[in-house]
Amino acid sequence: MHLSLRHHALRLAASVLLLVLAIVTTIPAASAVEPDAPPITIAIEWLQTQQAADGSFSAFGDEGDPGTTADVVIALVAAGIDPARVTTGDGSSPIDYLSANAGGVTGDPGLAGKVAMALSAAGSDPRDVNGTDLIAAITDGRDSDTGFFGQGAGTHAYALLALAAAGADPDVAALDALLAAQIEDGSWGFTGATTPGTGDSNTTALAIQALVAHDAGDTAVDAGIEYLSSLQDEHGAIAYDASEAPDLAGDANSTALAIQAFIAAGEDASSMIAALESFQNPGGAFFWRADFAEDSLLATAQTLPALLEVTLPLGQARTKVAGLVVRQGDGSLIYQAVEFEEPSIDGIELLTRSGLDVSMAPFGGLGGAVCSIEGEGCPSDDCFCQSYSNPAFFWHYYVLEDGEWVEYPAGASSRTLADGDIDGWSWTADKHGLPAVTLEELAAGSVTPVAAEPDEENSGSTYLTFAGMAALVLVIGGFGFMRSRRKPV
Amino acid sequence: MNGGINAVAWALWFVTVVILPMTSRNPLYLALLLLVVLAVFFSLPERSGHTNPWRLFAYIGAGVSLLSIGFNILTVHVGDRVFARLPDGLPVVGGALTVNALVYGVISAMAISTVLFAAATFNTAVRHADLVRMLPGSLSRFGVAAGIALLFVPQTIAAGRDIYDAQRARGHHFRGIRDVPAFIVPLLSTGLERALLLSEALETRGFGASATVMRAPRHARVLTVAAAVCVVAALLAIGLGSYVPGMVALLAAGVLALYGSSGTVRRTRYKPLEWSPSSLLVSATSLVAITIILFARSVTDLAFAYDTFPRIDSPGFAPLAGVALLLLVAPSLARQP
Repeated sequence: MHLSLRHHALRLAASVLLLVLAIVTTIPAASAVEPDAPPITIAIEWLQTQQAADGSFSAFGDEGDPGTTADVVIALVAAGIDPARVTTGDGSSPIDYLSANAGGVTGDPGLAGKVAMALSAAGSDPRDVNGTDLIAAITDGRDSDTGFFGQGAGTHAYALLALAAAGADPDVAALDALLAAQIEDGSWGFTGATTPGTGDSNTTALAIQALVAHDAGDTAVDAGIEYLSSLQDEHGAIAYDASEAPDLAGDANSTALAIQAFIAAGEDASSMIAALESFQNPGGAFFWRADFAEDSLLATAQTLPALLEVTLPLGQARTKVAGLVVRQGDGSLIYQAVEFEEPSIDGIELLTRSGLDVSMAPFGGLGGAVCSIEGEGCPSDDCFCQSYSNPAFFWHYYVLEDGEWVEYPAGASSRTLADGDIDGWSWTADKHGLPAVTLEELAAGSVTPVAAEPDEENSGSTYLTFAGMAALVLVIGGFGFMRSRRKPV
Repeated sequence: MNGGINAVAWALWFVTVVILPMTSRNPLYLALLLLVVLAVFFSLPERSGHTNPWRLFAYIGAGVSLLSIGFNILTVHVGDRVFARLPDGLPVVGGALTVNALVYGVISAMAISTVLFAAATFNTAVRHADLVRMLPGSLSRFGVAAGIALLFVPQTIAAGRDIYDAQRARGHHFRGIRDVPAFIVPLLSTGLERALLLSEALETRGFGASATVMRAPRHARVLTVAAAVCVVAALLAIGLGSYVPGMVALLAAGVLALYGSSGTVRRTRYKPLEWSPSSLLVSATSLVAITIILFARSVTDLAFAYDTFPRIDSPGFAPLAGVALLLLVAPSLARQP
């Protein structure tokens, strides 16, 4: 009897536990994670437990590893933590370790690039690291045959990222070498070989970020993004390469690098971010792949910047621009080019950052409704005050697609604007009246704001013409009237 | 009685005049057109008091104008110039009363008045018999019915005025509801008498029950089926949002149905349609005007579009469109005996 009761109690407890686990695992992950959100916090706490006495971090063996330490520094900086303050018991930080060992990485331009990028992100000067000039080490390591910094496209990409972080412009040949190494499927391989099938997602993601950092190779970047998309597995994670296709198995490191490449290219990476979060163990560490679920230092360090939606190189704020055209009821046009640092902003952000006088009101699940712009429209407490009768006036929201204005079917807060996008607002009850413009025109200020549709041409001679015609009609009518009333003789 | 301008020329003039009020709300054009229509109307030879319909149209125009202005002010609460406000709790009429709505109402009233005075001019200038005469033989039955319908209102008004004058001459004073039968009963009996006269007249002209049944058109059934197909196509087109093709199909259905349901009447004319210089002048000027109004707007901006919402702007005025409207005053210049 007791056994049976205990058995039932155990079954009940197990059922409840399974139910809780099921609920927890089916809760959809948020697409954007804040730096202080628990997954990030516990991952950083776990990372700090992995620090060696000399301040270093090591993914392979016990000895400090500059590459892994550089990855951790980048992760800490991305999370807003000063790496110089992450110290062991004797006061050594990862910056101390990298500074002490900078001389040892000068022979490898790729590794030198990674370390230089990490030090730049942490606020140190990579040109003078304990007397070592890492930037010079990178440029001196150029292979005259291949044009690469180092031995392949992977090291070359890291070197280019480090140069971008340090504000050094490489010569055109260095960028051409990277572009020439792109394989026909859009990928890059670590060695730089262009043989089909040798490309991988990690090198491709680094190459994309390097090209974006130097504002080069738009077409190559698009092809690279296409390649990365083709490696997405059924859960949304990215595989290392296509060798296991069609049974692709994504891993944390590849997914993280792909997310950074997508964001750098202005693409939507939200599905991959959700997949990346599933690689976290309860202790905070991330694991490499589902079939290797052990805690991984490298996976954890490389995952954090991606979850925080930070791209390489850190510290190089690449300004993006979105356009805004506002047409008021009198036909006057306002043009704005709005700069932003984030990967994307929404339509409301664009409007508010434009500096225009905007009033809004909550609009249920659609976010905010725009009530008035530059004083035209309705008050916030009666946002659609002029739309209840015919003609119905309110602020219509449009997006410019292929040179055509298309009314956006949802609220402006649902709209994601990346670099180069243009939005339009028109106070109208009928046609939008928005002119087709390009971002180049907006940014260059070559489109002149149009004032109210003008009364000048309707004044003076125009009304004199009307008055003259009306007088003529009266004269003719008078003549006709007199003639019709004249008695026949 | 139509003077030197024949019915076809008047019909062209009338169609041209009514297009603008239906397609534009530019107050300058509407004002100029109203002046043109009034000029033509008052240039017509003087008619007797019974047949001159201008007072009736003036009354109707004034009534519709007041209704239009009031309706706009009370139901359209849009615009930047608010002059009063009704409590928001009032259904439909509650809210801001704007000058914009008032101005729009005045413009609409001007458009309605223009159409009404154009119709008055057309009615005065053209005999209904001439209009029926213009119709092809296959539509003659429809034309007769339309002619009778067109005559009904003016004849009833004339009869009412006669009865009123006759009763007053007998010393009767109309004071209120109780005096209505003294007016209505003779009006009804006169109407019945007129209907009997009309039926006898139709009978003697071969329209009555004793008339020989007219042979149906050879393709009557085909035309009727085609009309039905056009109706279905029109409904589909309108339902799918293609309004213009839908309206064209509906128009085609109407024409086909008319031809399909009409009998064939052999008609002879003792007096062919006369194309005097006045008729040619009015037709030519109307055709030029209608061409400018309908087609020139695709080449140049004629400023036909105008709206008082959300703010009142000064309207545009294109001299070319003004010239087109001026051409419509041609009947005033034409010789009308």
